[in-house]
Amino acid sequence: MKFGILFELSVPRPFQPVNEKMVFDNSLEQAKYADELGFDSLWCVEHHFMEEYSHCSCPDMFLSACAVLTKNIRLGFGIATCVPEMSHAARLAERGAFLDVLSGGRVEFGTGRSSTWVELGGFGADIDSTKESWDEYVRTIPKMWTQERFSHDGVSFSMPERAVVPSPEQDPHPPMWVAVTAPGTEIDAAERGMGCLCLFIGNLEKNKARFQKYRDIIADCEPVGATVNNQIATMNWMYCDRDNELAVQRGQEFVDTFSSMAAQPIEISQAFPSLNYSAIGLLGGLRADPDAGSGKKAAPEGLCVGTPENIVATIKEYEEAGVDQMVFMINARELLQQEEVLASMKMFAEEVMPHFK
Amino acid sequence: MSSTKNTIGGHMVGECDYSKITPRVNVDKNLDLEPFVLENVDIHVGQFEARMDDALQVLPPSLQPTIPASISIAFYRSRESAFGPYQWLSIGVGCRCGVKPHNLMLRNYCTNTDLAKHLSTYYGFEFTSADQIRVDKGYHAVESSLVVEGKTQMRMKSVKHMMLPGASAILKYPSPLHHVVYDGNQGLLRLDMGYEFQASSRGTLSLGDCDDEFFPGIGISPTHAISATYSEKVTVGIIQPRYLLDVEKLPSEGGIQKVHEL
Repeated sequence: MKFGILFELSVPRPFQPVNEKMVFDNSLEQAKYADELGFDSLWCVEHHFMEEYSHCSCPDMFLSACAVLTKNIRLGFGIATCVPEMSHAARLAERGAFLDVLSGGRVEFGTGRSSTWVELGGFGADIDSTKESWDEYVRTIPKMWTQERFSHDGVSFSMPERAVVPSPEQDPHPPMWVAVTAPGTEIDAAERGMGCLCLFIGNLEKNKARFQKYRDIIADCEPVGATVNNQIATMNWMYCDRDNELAVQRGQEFVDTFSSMAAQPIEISQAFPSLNYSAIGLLGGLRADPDAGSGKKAAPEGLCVGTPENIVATIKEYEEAGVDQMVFMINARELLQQEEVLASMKMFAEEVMPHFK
Repeated sequence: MSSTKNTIGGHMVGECDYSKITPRVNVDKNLDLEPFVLENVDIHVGQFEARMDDALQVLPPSLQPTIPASISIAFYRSRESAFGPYQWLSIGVGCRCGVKPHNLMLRNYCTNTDLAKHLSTYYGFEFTSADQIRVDKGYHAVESSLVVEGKTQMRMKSVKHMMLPGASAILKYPSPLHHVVYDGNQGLLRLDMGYEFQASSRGTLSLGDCDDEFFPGIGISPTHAISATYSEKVTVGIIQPRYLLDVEKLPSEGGIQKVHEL
C-alpha cells in the first residue's frame, strides 16, 4: 500500500492575502514534510472559481514549487481537466512533461473533465462533449510525449504538425490516471490501461466488485499510452492521534467542513441536465443528508481517523479490497492548526506506514 | 516556515434580516395530510445565474447561496386536476441546506384560486394573483409568460430542445422553501416535491421582454441563462412537510426542527 496527500488549497473567508498566503505556505510545508517522512505521492486538484472550496486554479505552479522543495515524493495532477475551453490538449502535455523534467521524473498524470456548472459554465464549455474530449485528450497526450512531432485532426481539437516540447523525463512517459466518481468510469479507465483515482470514500463491500472488474478488464486492455498503469488509488481523510475520541471528533469536523463547502457550488446535474453527467458527483455525495434532520452529514464509514492501531485496521480493509494507494486530505479551510496537521502526519508515518512496507 | 495564526471566517450565508419580515402565510399543520398528487403536469423551468450580492440580500442567514448565485423560474400547467385546470409560476433563489438543491421561494402566481388556497394552507405557498400564465409549446420553441393587471411582466423562451431519456435519473428540480408561520412557529418550511417524468427535454434558454420593475421588485434579477427544461405529463407529488428551518441558524448548527415523522 502506498500513501499520498491531496491538496485542495481550500481558503477560509475572508479572502485576504494573509489567508491565501497562509494556506499556500502551510501546504508547501506539508508537502516538504511529507517527502521527508516517506509519503509516496502528493496530488493537487485543478479547480476554478470554487470560492473557499479550492483556490487551486494553477496546479502546475503549485506542483512546480513542490518539485523544488522535495526530492523523492511523486507529484500528481489530481486532475488535469481535459476540456478544450479550459486547456488545449497540447498545453496539458506541455505542463505534464515540463514538471516531469523539473522534478527529475516524478509526475503522475491524473485526468478528468470537471462536474460543476461553476467551472464548466464559467469557461463556456460544451458540457455534452466533455466525455468525448477527455477520451480524445488521453489518446493524444501520450503521443505528444513520445513522438518527435505530432499532428492531429480531431473533434475537440486539431493541430498541424508540431514538436510538443519538452519531452517528459520518464520513459516512456508519466503514468496516467483518470478520476473515478460515477459508476462505469472505472471501466473506462481499465479499457484504456489507466489508473483509477477513486473520488469516493467507504462502501468498500460495494466497491470491491468494481475494483475486481477493473482488474479483469485492464489485464486485457488496449492502452491509450505506451504503458499500462494498473493501480487503484482512493481518497480519504486522515487524522492520527493517540486520543481516539479526539481523532474521531476531528474526523467529523472534517466531514462537516467539507459538507458545508461542497454544498454551495452548483453541479452540472443540478443546472444543466446532461446524459454526460448522470451521477450526483463527488460534491453532491459530500453534502449533508436532509432526511437526517440534523442537517449534518454523518461521517462515512472507512475514514482514516483515530489511533494508529485503528487506522492500520481500516487501511488493511482497503488493502484487502484491492486498493493500491490511499490519498489523504489532511486539512480543510485551515480547520486544524498547522502544528496539529504536521503532528498527525508524523504519527502516521512512524506508526502506521511501517505496517505496510 | 512557521504557521500563522488562523483568521477563519464563516461561510457565505444570506444577509437579509428576516426578523423584520412577517410571514403572510399561516400553514395549517394537518398531520393526516395524504400526499398531494398532481398528474399530467407540463413543466417549463428556466435556470439562470444571478448576482451574488443580490442573492445575499434576499436569503436569510440560515441559508447558503449557490455558487454561482442562481434563480429558478418554473411554470406549471395542467388542463385537469381535482381543482380544475390551472397554471402556476414559482420563482425562487437557489440555496443550500443539504444534499438536494433548494429554492427559497420569492414569488408565486396561480390562476386557480382553489388550488392556490390548498397549496397555501398546507404547504406554505404565498400566491399573488395573475391574469394569465401561459406555457406555449411549439415545434420550434417553448414560450412561457406572466400577465398581471393587464401587463406582461415576464417572458421566458427556450429553443433547440434535445430529449433527455431517463429524465428521472438526471433531472433534479429544486425543492421549495417557504417563509411561513407553521404551527405557531416562524420559519422556512421545507417541502419534499417528487417528480415522475414521462418525456423531458433540455433547451437553450433566454429571457424575453420583462417589465422594468418585475425582477427589481423581487429583489434579484437573472443575469445569465444556464438552461431550460420542458417536461410533459409529469406526476408531481408533495408529501406532508417534515422540516422547519430557522431563519437565523444554519441547519448544521441546530437550525432545523423535525415537525412531522413519516
